[in-house]
Amino acid sequence: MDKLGINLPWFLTQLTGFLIVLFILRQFTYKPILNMLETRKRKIAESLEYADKVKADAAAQQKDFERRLDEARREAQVAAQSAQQAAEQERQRILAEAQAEAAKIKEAARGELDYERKQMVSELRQQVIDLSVLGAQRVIGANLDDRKSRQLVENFLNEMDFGANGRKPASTREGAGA
Amino acid sequence: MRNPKVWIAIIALLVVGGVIKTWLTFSVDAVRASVAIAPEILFNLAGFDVTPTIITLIIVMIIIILLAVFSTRNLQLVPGGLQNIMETAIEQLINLFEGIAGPKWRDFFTIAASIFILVIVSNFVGLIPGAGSIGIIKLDEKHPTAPEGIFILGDAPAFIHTTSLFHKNQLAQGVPEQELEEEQALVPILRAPTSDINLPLALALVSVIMTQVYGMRAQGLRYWTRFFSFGRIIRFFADAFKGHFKIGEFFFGLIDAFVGAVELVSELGKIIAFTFRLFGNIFAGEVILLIMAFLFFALPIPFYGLEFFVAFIQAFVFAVLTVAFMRLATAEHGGESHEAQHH
Repeated sequence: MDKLGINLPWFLTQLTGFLIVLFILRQFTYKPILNMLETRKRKIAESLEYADKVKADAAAQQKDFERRLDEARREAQVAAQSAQQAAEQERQRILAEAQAEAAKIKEAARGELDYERKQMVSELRQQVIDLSVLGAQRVIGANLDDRKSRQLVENFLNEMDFGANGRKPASTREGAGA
Repeated sequence: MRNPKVWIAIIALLVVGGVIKTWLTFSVDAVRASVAIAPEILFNLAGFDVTPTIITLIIVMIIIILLAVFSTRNLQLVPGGLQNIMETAIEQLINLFEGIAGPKWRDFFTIAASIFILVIVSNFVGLIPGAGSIGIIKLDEKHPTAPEGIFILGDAPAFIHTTSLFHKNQLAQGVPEQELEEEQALVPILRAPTSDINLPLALALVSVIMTQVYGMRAQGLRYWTRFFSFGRIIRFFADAFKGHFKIGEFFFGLIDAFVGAVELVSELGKIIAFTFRLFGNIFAGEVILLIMAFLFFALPIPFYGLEFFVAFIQAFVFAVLTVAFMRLATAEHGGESHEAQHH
Protein backbone atom coordinates (compact mmCIF):
# COMPACT_ATOMS: atom_id res chain seq x y z
CA MET A 1 0.00 0.00 0.00
CA ASP A 2 2.81 2.35 0.91
CA LYS A 3 4.62 1.58 -2.34
CA LEU A 4 1.52 2.54 -4.26
CA GLY A 5 1.30 5.70 -2.20
CA ILE A 6 -2.05 4.91 -0.65
CA ASN A 7 -2.26 6.54 2.72
CA LEU A 8 -5.18 7.86 4.66
CA PRO A 9 -4.39 11.60 4.82
CA TRP A 10 -3.69 11.81 1.12
CA PHE A 11 -6.74 9.71 0.31
CA LEU A 12 -8.96 11.91 2.48
CA THR A 13 -7.49 15.03 0.89
CA GLN A 14 -8.30 13.78 -2.58
CA LEU A 15 -11.75 12.59 -1.51
CA THR A 16 -12.50 15.95 0.10
CA GLY A 17 -11.32 17.69 -3.04
CA PHE A 18 -13.70 15.60 -5.14
CA LEU A 19 -16.61 16.18 -2.77
CA ILE A 20 -16.03 19.94 -2.80
CA VAL A 21 -15.92 19.91 -6.59
CA LEU A 22 -19.07 17.80 -6.66
CA PHE A 23 -20.92 20.11 -4.31
CA ILE A 24 -19.86 23.28 -6.13
CA LEU A 25 -20.69 21.86 -9.53
CA ARG A 26 -24.07 20.69 -8.30
CA GLN A 27 -24.89 24.00 -6.72
CA PHE A 28 -23.49 26.36 -9.33
CA THR A 29 -23.58 24.42 -12.55
CA TYR A 30 -25.89 21.45 -12.74
CA LYS A 31 -28.90 22.94 -11.01
CA PRO A 32 -28.97 26.26 -12.89
CA ILE A 33 -28.00 24.75 -16.22
CA LEU A 34 -30.50 21.89 -15.98
CA ASN A 35 -33.15 24.41 -15.02
CA MET A 36 -32.11 26.60 -17.89
CA LEU A 37 -32.20 23.71 -20.34
CA GLU A 38 -35.61 22.75 -19.03
CA THR A 39 -36.86 26.32 -19.33
CA ARG A 40 -35.46 26.60 -22.80
CA LYS A 41 -37.02 23.31 -23.84
CA ARG A 42 -40.38 24.47 -22.52
CA LYS A 43 -40.00 27.84 -24.20
CA ILE A 44 -39.13 26.23 -27.51
CA ALA A 45 -42.06 23.84 -27.22
CA GLU A 46 -44.33 26.78 -26.45
CA SER A 47 -42.92 28.76 -29.33
CA LEU A 48 -43.39 25.85 -31.69
CA GLU A 49 -46.93 25.41 -30.49
CA TYR A 50 -47.57 29.08 -30.94
CA ALA A 51 -45.99 28.98 -34.38
CA ASP A 52 -48.22 26.05 -35.28
CA LYS A 53 -51.24 27.95 -34.06
CA VAL A 54 -50.23 31.03 -36.00
CA LYS A 55 -49.61 28.92 -39.05
CA ALA A 56 -53.04 27.29 -38.71
CA ASP A 57 -54.60 30.71 -38.24
CA ALA A 58 -52.79 32.00 -41.26
CA ALA A 59 -53.92 29.01 -43.28
CA ALA A 60 -57.51 29.56 -42.19
CA GLN A 61 -57.23 33.22 -43.02
CA GLN A 62 -55.69 32.39 -46.34
CA LYS A 63 -58.55 30.03 -47.07
CA ASP A 64 -61.06 32.64 -46.00
CA PHE A 65 -59.31 35.23 -48.09
CA GLU A 66 -59.28 32.94 -51.10
CA ARG A 67 -62.93 32.16 -50.62
CA ARG A 68 -63.73 35.85 -50.48
CA LEU A 69 -61.53 36.52 -53.44
CA ASP A 70 -63.35 33.81 -55.38
CA GLU A 71 -66.65 35.28 -54.39
CA ALA A 72 -65.57 38.74 -55.40
CA ARG A 73 -64.24 37.42 -58.65
CA ARG A 74 -67.47 35.64 -59.36
CA GLU A 75 -69.45 38.73 -58.48
CA ALA A 76 -67.26 40.84 -60.66
CA GLN A 77 -67.73 38.38 -63.45
CA VAL A 78 -71.50 38.47 -63.03
CA ALA A 79 -71.45 42.25 -62.90
CA ALA A 80 -69.28 42.47 -65.96
CA GLN A 81 -71.53 40.05 -67.78
CA SER A 82 -74.66 41.96 -66.90
CA ALA A 83 -72.95 45.21 -67.83
CA GLN A 84 -71.98 43.72 -71.13
CA GLN A 85 -75.51 42.57 -71.69
CA ALA A 86 -76.86 45.99 -70.83
CA ALA A 87 -74.32 47.58 -73.09
CA GLU A 88 -75.29 45.24 -75.89
CA GLN A 89 -78.95 46.05 -75.38
CA GLU A 90 -78.17 49.72 -75.31
CA ARG A 91 -76.17 49.37 -78.46
CA GLN A 92 -78.99 47.54 -80.15
CA ARG A 93 -81.42 50.16 -78.99
CA ILE A 94 -79.26 53.03 -80.12
CA LEU A 95 -78.60 51.31 -83.41
CA ALA A 96 -82.29 50.72 -83.98
CA GLU A 97 -83.06 54.29 -83.03
CA ALA A 98 -80.38 55.59 -85.31
CA GLN A 99 -81.57 53.40 -88.09
CA ALA A 100 -85.13 54.60 -87.59
CA GLU A 101 -83.94 58.18 -87.50
CA ALA A 102 -81.94 57.67 -90.61
CA ALA A 103 -84.88 56.11 -92.35
CA LYS A 104 -87.08 58.99 -91.27
CA ILE A 105 -84.56 61.54 -92.46
CA LYS A 106 -84.21 59.69 -95.71
CA GLU A 107 -87.93 59.60 -96.12
CA ALA A 108 -88.23 63.28 -95.33
CA ALA A 109 -85.44 64.12 -97.72
CA ARG A 110 -87.05 62.06 -100.42
CA GLY A 111 -90.41 63.82 -99.86
CA GLU A 112 -88.77 67.22 -100.05
CA LEU A 113 -86.87 66.25 -103.14
CA ASP A 114 -90.06 65.03 -104.78
CA TYR A 115 -91.80 68.22 -103.88
CA GLU A 116 -88.99 70.35 -105.20
CA ARG A 117 -88.81 68.36 -108.36
CA LYS A 118 -92.54 68.77 -108.84
CA GLN A 119 -92.12 72.44 -108.19
CA MET A 120 -89.28 72.65 -110.69
CA VAL A 121 -91.20 70.72 -113.31
CA SER A 122 -94.18 72.92 -112.86
CA GLU A 123 -92.01 76.04 -113.14
CA LEU A 124 -90.28 74.58 -116.17
CA ARG A 125 -93.63 73.86 -117.70
CA GLN A 126 -94.73 77.47 -117.23
CA GLN A 127 -91.50 78.66 -118.79
CA VAL A 128 -91.81 76.21 -121.70
CA ILE A 129 -95.33 77.40 -122.24
CA ASP A 130 -94.22 81.01 -122.14
CA LEU A 131 -91.33 80.34 -124.48
CA SER A 132 -93.48 78.39 -126.88
CA VAL A 133 -96.08 81.10 -126.99
CA LEU A 134 -93.42 83.74 -127.43
CA GLY A 135 -91.74 81.71 -130.15
CA ALA A 136 -94.95 81.12 -131.93
CA GLN A 137 -95.83 84.82 -131.79
CA ARG A 138 -92.50 85.66 -133.41
CA VAL A 139 -93.04 83.05 -136.06
CA ILE A 140 -96.48 84.14 -137.01
CA GLY A 141 -95.86 87.76 -136.21
CA ALA A 142 -99.16 88.23 -134.66
CA ASN A 143 -100.32 88.60 -131.22
CA LEU A 144 -101.82 85.44 -130.32
CA ASP A 145 -104.66 85.21 -127.99
CA ASP A 146 -102.70 84.65 -124.94
CA ARG A 147 -105.11 82.49 -123.10
CA LYS A 148 -105.96 80.37 -126.06
CA SER A 149 -102.38 79.72 -127.14
CA ARG A 150 -101.41 78.84 -123.67
CA GLN A 151 -104.18 76.34 -123.59
CA LEU A 152 -102.88 74.86 -126.81
CA VAL A 153 -99.37 74.43 -125.53
CA GLU A 154 -100.74 73.08 -122.36
CA ASN A 155 -102.67 70.48 -124.19
CA PHE A 156 -99.63 69.64 -126.27
CA LEU A 157 -97.55 69.17 -123.22
CA ASN A 158 -100.22 67.06 -121.71
CA GLU A 159 -100.24 64.94 -124.83
CA MET A 160 -96.51 64.65 -124.54
CA ASP A 161 -97.04 63.83 -120.91
CA PHE A 162 -94.38 66.32 -119.91
CA GLY A 163 -94.34 66.93 -116.25
CA ALA A 164 -97.99 66.34 -115.79
CA ASN A 165 -97.34 63.12 -114.16
CA GLY A 166 -94.49 63.13 -111.70
CA ARG A 167 -94.42 59.33 -111.79
CA LYS A 168 -92.54 58.98 -115.00
CA PRO A 169 -90.34 61.96 -115.32
CA ALA A 170 -87.31 60.01 -116.48
CA SER A 171 -88.95 58.29 -119.40
CA THR A 172 -90.69 61.54 -120.31
CA ARG A 173 -87.47 63.43 -120.18
CA GLU A 174 -85.82 60.73 -122.19
CA GLY A 175 -88.56 60.95 -124.72
CA ALA A 176 -88.24 64.72 -124.77
CA GLY A 177 -84.52 64.57 -125.28
CA ALA A 178 -84.91 62.17 -128.17
CA MET B 1 -6.91 21.26 -39.86
CA ARG B 2 -7.43 22.82 -43.26
CA ASN B 3 -6.68 26.15 -41.65
CA PRO B 4 -3.12 27.07 -42.69
CA LYS B 5 -2.70 29.17 -39.53
CA VAL B 6 -2.81 26.01 -37.43
CA TRP B 7 0.03 24.48 -39.44
CA ILE B 8 2.06 27.67 -39.29
CA ALA B 9 1.64 27.72 -35.51
CA ILE B 10 2.70 24.08 -35.19
CA ILE B 11 5.79 24.58 -37.38
CA ALA B 12 6.72 27.75 -35.49
CA LEU B 13 6.44 25.89 -32.18
CA LEU B 14 8.69 23.11 -33.48
CA VAL B 15 11.29 25.61 -34.69
CA VAL B 16 11.25 27.49 -31.39
CA GLY B 17 11.51 24.21 -29.52
CA GLY B 18 14.47 23.14 -31.61
CA VAL B 19 16.26 26.45 -31.11
CA ILE B 20 15.76 26.34 -27.36
CA LYS B 21 16.94 22.76 -27.30
CA THR B 22 20.17 23.50 -29.15
CA TRP B 23 21.06 26.87 -27.66
CA LEU B 24 20.10 26.38 -24.05
CA THR B 25 21.95 23.57 -22.42
CA PHE B 26 19.17 21.83 -20.64
CA SER B 27 20.27 18.45 -19.55
CA VAL B 28 18.18 15.75 -18.05
CA ASP B 29 21.20 13.52 -17.60
CA ALA B 30 22.31 15.21 -14.41
CA VAL B 31 19.26 14.08 -12.52
CA ARG B 32 17.70 10.71 -12.23
CA ALA B 33 14.33 10.93 -13.82
CA SER B 34 11.75 10.51 -11.15
CA VAL B 35 9.45 7.63 -11.88
CA ALA B 36 7.68 7.31 -8.61
CA ILE B 37 4.36 5.51 -8.34
CA ALA B 38 3.71 7.09 -5.00
CA PRO B 39 3.61 10.87 -5.17
CA GLU B 40 6.79 12.54 -3.95
CA ILE B 41 6.67 14.73 -0.89
CA LEU B 42 7.26 18.38 -1.62
CA PHE B 43 7.22 19.71 1.91
CA ASN B 44 5.66 19.07 5.24
CA LEU B 45 2.89 21.32 6.44
CA ALA B 46 2.13 20.92 10.13
CA GLY B 47 2.63 17.18 10.06
CA PHE B 48 0.90 16.73 6.73
CA ASP B 49 2.99 15.67 3.74
CA VAL B 50 2.08 17.87 0.80
CA THR B 51 2.56 16.16 -2.55
CA PRO B 52 2.58 17.62 -6.07
CA THR B 53 -0.70 15.85 -6.74
CA ILE B 54 -2.35 17.68 -3.86
CA ILE B 55 -1.06 21.03 -5.12
CA THR B 56 -2.32 20.17 -8.59
CA LEU B 57 -5.64 19.02 -7.16
CA ILE B 58 -6.06 22.43 -5.56
CA ILE B 59 -5.28 24.11 -8.88
CA VAL B 60 -7.76 21.81 -10.62
CA MET B 61 -10.39 22.64 -8.04
CA ILE B 62 -9.79 26.35 -8.50
CA ILE B 63 -10.15 25.96 -12.28
CA ILE B 64 -13.37 23.97 -11.95
CA ILE B 65 -14.85 26.28 -9.33
CA LEU B 66 -14.06 29.36 -11.41
CA LEU B 67 -15.58 27.71 -14.48
CA ALA B 68 -18.63 26.58 -12.52
CA VAL B 69 -19.26 29.95 -10.97
CA PHE B 70 -18.44 32.17 -13.92
CA SER B 71 -20.22 30.12 -16.54
CA THR B 72 -23.52 30.35 -14.70
CA ARG B 73 -23.17 33.68 -12.94
CA ASN B 74 -25.46 35.43 -15.36
CA LEU B 75 -27.59 32.81 -17.05
CA GLN B 76 -29.27 33.89 -20.25
CA LEU B 77 -32.01 32.18 -22.16
CA VAL B 78 -29.99 32.78 -25.29
CA PRO B 79 -26.56 31.58 -24.17
CA GLY B 80 -23.23 33.06 -25.15
CA GLY B 81 -19.55 32.68 -24.31
CA LEU B 82 -18.67 30.57 -21.33
CA GLN B 83 -22.27 29.70 -20.59
CA ASN B 84 -22.60 28.29 -24.08
CA ILE B 85 -19.53 26.12 -23.68
CA MET B 86 -20.62 24.84 -20.28
CA GLU B 87 -24.16 24.20 -21.46
CA THR B 88 -22.94 22.32 -24.49
CA ALA B 89 -20.70 20.17 -22.32
CA ILE B 90 -23.48 19.47 -19.83
CA GLU B 91 -25.90 18.73 -22.62
CA GLN B 92 -23.50 16.28 -24.21
CA LEU B 93 -23.10 14.54 -20.87
CA ILE B 94 -26.88 14.43 -20.46
CA ASN B 95 -27.29 12.89 -23.90
CA LEU B 96 -24.58 10.36 -23.12
CA PHE B 97 -26.04 9.36 -19.75
CA GLU B 98 -29.57 9.36 -21.04
CA GLY B 99 -28.48 6.96 -23.78
CA ILE B 100 -27.14 4.59 -21.13
CA ALA B 101 -29.53 4.96 -18.23
CA GLY B 102 -32.72 6.17 -19.92
CA PRO B 103 -34.96 8.41 -17.81
CA LYS B 104 -33.03 7.53 -14.63
CA TRP B 105 -30.08 9.65 -15.75
CA ARG B 106 -31.14 12.47 -13.41
CA ASP B 107 -30.33 10.39 -10.34
CA PHE B 108 -26.83 9.56 -11.50
CA PHE B 109 -25.96 12.80 -13.22
CA THR B 110 -24.37 14.72 -10.34
CA ILE B 111 -21.86 12.03 -9.43
CA ALA B 112 -21.01 10.82 -12.93
CA ALA B 113 -20.69 14.31 -14.41
CA SER B 114 -18.57 15.50 -11.48
CA ILE B 115 -16.29 12.52 -11.89
CA PHE B 116 -16.01 13.23 -15.59
CA ILE B 117 -15.21 16.91 -15.10
CA LEU B 118 -12.73 16.38 -12.27
CA VAL B 119 -10.93 13.58 -14.09
CA ILE B 120 -10.73 15.34 -17.44
CA VAL B 121 -9.49 18.62 -15.94
CA SER B 122 -6.98 16.73 -13.77
CA ASN B 123 -5.70 14.81 -16.76
CA PHE B 124 -5.38 17.93 -18.87
CA VAL B 125 -3.63 19.90 -16.13
CA GLY B 126 -1.17 17.02 -15.87
CA LEU B 127 -0.42 17.56 -19.55
CA ILE B 128 0.45 21.23 -19.19
CA PRO B 129 4.06 21.65 -20.31
CA GLY B 130 6.14 21.96 -17.15
CA ALA B 131 3.96 19.67 -15.09
CA GLY B 132 6.32 16.87 -14.18
CA SER B 133 9.41 18.61 -15.52
CA ILE B 134 9.59 21.74 -13.35
CA GLY B 135 10.33 20.85 -9.81
CA ILE B 136 12.53 20.74 -6.81
CA ILE B 137 15.85 18.90 -6.45
CA LYS B 138 16.49 17.60 -3.01
CA LEU B 139 19.91 18.24 -1.51
CA ASP B 140 21.56 16.40 1.29
CA GLU B 141 25.02 15.82 2.72
CA LYS B 142 26.07 13.68 -0.19
CA HIS B 143 24.67 16.08 -2.77
CA PRO B 144 25.28 19.52 -1.33
CA THR B 145 24.86 21.32 -4.67
CA ALA B 146 22.50 21.01 -7.57
CA PRO B 147 23.73 19.00 -10.53
CA GLU B 148 25.25 20.93 -13.40
CA GLY B 149 23.22 21.87 -16.42
CA ILE B 150 20.04 22.34 -14.44
CA PHE B 151 18.03 25.44 -15.05
CA ILE B 152 17.39 27.04 -11.70
CA LEU B 153 14.71 29.62 -11.13
CA GLY B 154 16.08 31.79 -8.33
CA ASP B 155 17.50 29.76 -5.52
CA ALA B 156 14.93 29.34 -2.81
CA PRO B 157 12.35 26.76 -3.86
CA ALA B 158 14.80 24.55 -5.71
CA PHE B 159 16.81 23.76 -2.61
CA ILE B 160 14.23 22.60 -0.15
CA HIS B 161 15.68 19.80 1.86
CA THR B 162 13.33 16.89 2.20
CA THR B 163 13.53 13.20 2.82
CA SER B 164 12.20 11.30 -0.10
CA LEU B 165 9.61 8.62 0.22
CA PHE B 166 12.11 6.36 -1.46
CA HIS B 167 14.40 6.68 1.55
CA LYS B 168 11.51 6.16 3.89
CA ASN B 169 10.68 2.95 2.10
CA GLN B 170 14.25 1.77 2.25
CA LEU B 171 14.41 2.51 5.93
CA ALA B 172 11.11 0.73 6.45
CA GLN B 173 12.52 -2.32 4.69
CA GLY B 174 15.37 -2.41 7.18
CA VAL B 175 18.17 -1.05 4.99
CA PRO B 176 20.82 0.40 7.28
CA GLU B 177 21.07 4.17 7.09
CA GLN B 178 24.65 4.10 5.84
CA GLU B 179 23.77 1.91 2.86
CA LEU B 180 20.85 4.00 1.67
CA GLU B 181 20.87 4.19 -2.10
CA GLU B 182 21.61 7.79 -2.88
CA GLU B 183 19.97 9.63 -5.66
CA GLN B 184 19.14 13.08 -6.73
CA ALA B 185 15.67 13.14 -8.15
CA LEU B 186 13.55 15.97 -9.37
CA VAL B 187 10.35 16.37 -7.42
CA PRO B 188 7.88 18.01 -9.78
CA ILE B 189 5.68 20.78 -8.48
CA LEU B 190 2.74 19.78 -10.66
CA ARG B 191 1.59 16.27 -11.29
CA ALA B 192 -1.82 15.08 -12.45
CA PRO B 193 -3.91 14.16 -9.39
CA THR B 194 -5.19 11.18 -11.34
CA SER B 195 -1.65 9.80 -11.48
CA ASP B 196 -1.73 9.61 -7.69
CA ILE B 197 -3.60 6.46 -6.80
CA ASN B 198 -5.50 8.13 -3.99
CA LEU B 199 -7.77 10.14 -6.27
CA PRO B 200 -8.77 7.23 -8.54
CA LEU B 201 -9.33 5.17 -5.40
CA ALA B 202 -11.51 7.87 -3.87
CA LEU B 203 -13.53 8.19 -7.09
CA ALA B 204 -13.88 4.42 -7.41
CA LEU B 205 -15.10 4.12 -3.82
CA VAL B 206 -17.59 6.94 -4.33
CA SER B 207 -18.80 5.34 -7.54
CA VAL B 208 -19.20 1.83 -6.14
CA ILE B 209 -20.64 2.87 -2.78
CA MET B 210 -23.14 5.21 -4.41
CA THR B 211 -24.08 2.37 -6.78
CA GLN B 212 -25.07 0.31 -3.71
CA VAL B 213 -26.98 3.28 -2.30
CA TYR B 214 -28.95 3.78 -5.49
CA GLY B 215 -29.58 0.04 -5.73
CA MET B 216 -30.97 0.01 -2.21
CA ARG B 217 -33.02 3.10 -2.86
CA ALA B 218 -34.58 1.52 -5.95
CA GLN B 219 -35.20 -1.98 -4.58
CA GLY B 220 -34.98 -1.71 -0.84
CA LEU B 221 -33.42 -4.54 1.11
CA ARG B 222 -34.22 -6.89 -1.77
CA TYR B 223 -31.20 -5.35 -3.50
CA TRP B 224 -28.86 -7.32 -1.30
CA THR B 225 -30.27 -10.63 -2.53
CA ARG B 226 -28.13 -9.91 -5.55
CA PHE B 227 -25.10 -10.82 -3.46
CA PHE B 228 -26.61 -12.96 -0.72
CA SER B 229 -29.21 -15.12 -2.39
CA PHE B 230 -29.90 -17.91 0.06
CA GLY B 231 -33.67 -17.89 -0.48
CA ARG B 232 -33.82 -21.24 -2.23
CA ILE B 233 -31.55 -23.00 0.18
CA ILE B 234 -33.56 -21.74 3.14
CA ARG B 235 -36.72 -22.91 1.40
CA PHE B 236 -35.13 -26.31 0.88
CA PHE B 237 -34.32 -26.65 4.57
CA ALA B 238 -37.79 -25.45 5.53
CA ASP B 239 -39.30 -28.10 3.27
CA ALA B 240 -36.89 -30.71 4.59
CA PHE B 241 -37.99 -29.88 8.12
CA LYS B 242 -41.55 -30.66 7.05
CA GLY B 243 -40.37 -33.89 5.50
CA HIS B 244 -40.27 -32.98 1.78
CA PHE B 245 -36.85 -33.39 0.28
CA LYS B 246 -36.49 -31.49 -3.01
CA ILE B 247 -32.98 -32.20 -4.23
CA GLY B 248 -33.37 -29.92 -7.26
CA GLU B 249 -34.23 -27.00 -4.99
CA PHE B 250 -31.08 -27.69 -3.03
CA PHE B 251 -28.81 -27.62 -6.07
CA PHE B 252 -30.43 -24.55 -7.51
CA GLY B 253 -30.05 -22.97 -4.11
CA LEU B 254 -26.36 -23.74 -4.17
CA ILE B 255 -26.03 -22.24 -7.64
CA ASP B 256 -27.87 -19.10 -6.48
CA ALA B 257 -25.57 -18.74 -3.52
CA PHE B 258 -22.53 -19.21 -5.73
CA VAL B 259 -23.75 -16.65 -8.30
CA GLY B 260 -24.33 -14.21 -5.45
CA ALA B 261 -20.79 -14.75 -4.21
CA VAL B 262 -19.42 -14.15 -7.70
CA GLU B 263 -21.46 -10.94 -7.93
CA LEU B 264 -20.06 -9.81 -4.60
CA VAL B 265 -16.49 -10.45 -5.70
CA SER B 266 -17.05 -8.68 -9.01
CA GLU B 267 -18.56 -5.72 -7.18
CA LEU B 268 -15.45 -5.46 -5.02
CA GLY B 269 -13.35 -6.00 -8.12
CA LYS B 270 -14.98 -2.94 -9.64
CA ILE B 271 -13.23 -0.78 -7.07
CA ILE B 272 -9.85 -2.17 -8.10
CA ALA B 273 -10.72 -2.03 -11.80
CA PHE B 274 -11.89 1.58 -11.61
CA THR B 275 -8.85 2.62 -9.58
CA PHE B 276 -6.18 0.98 -11.66
CA ARG B 277 -7.75 1.70 -15.03
CA LEU B 278 -7.57 5.42 -14.41
CA PHE B 279 -4.38 5.50 -12.39
CA GLY B 280 -2.57 3.09 -14.70
CA ASN B 281 -3.47 4.93 -17.88
CA ILE B 282 -2.50 8.36 -16.64
CA PHE B 283 0.62 7.27 -14.79
CA ALA B 284 1.78 5.19 -17.74
CA GLY B 285 1.17 8.17 -19.98
CA GLU B 286 3.49 10.30 -17.86
CA VAL B 287 6.15 7.61 -17.88
CA ILE B 288 5.89 7.23 -21.66
CA LEU B 289 6.30 10.97 -22.19
CA LEU B 290 9.35 10.97 -19.89
CA ILE B 291 10.99 8.03 -21.61
CA MET B 292 10.32 9.44 -25.08
CA ALA B 293 11.95 12.70 -24.01
CA PHE B 294 15.12 10.77 -23.17
CA LEU B 295 15.16 9.07 -26.55
CA PHE B 296 14.79 12.03 -28.89
CA PHE B 297 13.64 15.52 -28.18
CA ALA B 298 10.77 15.63 -30.71
CA LEU B 299 9.54 12.12 -30.04
CA PRO B 300 7.12 12.99 -27.22
CA ILE B 301 5.03 15.15 -29.58
CA PRO B 302 2.89 12.35 -31.11
CA PHE B 303 2.63 10.71 -27.71
CA TYR B 304 1.60 14.02 -26.24
CA GLY B 305 -1.33 14.07 -28.67
CA LEU B 306 -2.12 10.49 -27.74
CA GLU B 307 -2.13 11.44 -24.07
CA PHE B 308 -4.76 14.11 -24.73
CA PHE B 309 -6.90 11.41 -26.25
CA VAL B 310 -6.25 9.08 -23.29
CA ALA B 311 -7.04 11.91 -20.87
CA PHE B 312 -10.46 12.32 -22.45
CA ILE B 313 -11.15 8.62 -22.89
CA GLN B 314 -10.35 7.79 -19.27
CA ALA B 315 -12.69 10.45 -17.95
CA PHE B 316 -15.35 9.28 -20.39
CA VAL B 317 -14.94 5.61 -19.45
CA PHE B 318 -15.03 6.30 -15.73
CA ALA B 319 -18.25 8.32 -16.00
CA VAL B 320 -19.93 5.97 -18.45
CA LEU B 321 -19.11 2.86 -16.41
CA THR B 322 -20.38 4.56 -13.26
CA VAL B 323 -23.70 5.32 -14.93
CA ALA B 324 -23.91 1.85 -16.45
CA PHE B 325 -23.28 0.11 -13.12
CA MET B 326 -25.75 2.36 -11.34
CA ARG B 327 -28.33 1.60 -13.97
CA LEU B 328 -27.73 -2.15 -13.56
CA ALA B 329 -28.02 -1.85 -9.79
CA THR B 330 -31.30 0.04 -9.96
CA ALA B 331 -32.83 -2.32 -12.54
CA GLU B 332 -35.00 -5.03 -11.01
CA HIS B 333 -33.47 -8.42 -11.47
CA GLY B 334 -36.58 -10.51 -10.86
CA GLY B 335 -38.14 -11.43 -14.21
CA GLU B 336 -41.85 -10.76 -13.63
CA SER B 337 -41.47 -7.85 -11.24
CA HIS B 338 -39.24 -6.21 -13.86
CA GLU B 339 -42.16 -6.20 -16.24
CA ALA B 340 -44.49 -4.96 -13.53
CA GLN B 341 -42.17 -2.11 -12.66
CA HIS B 342 -42.37 -0.69 -16.14
CA HIS B 343 -46.13 -0.78 -16.56
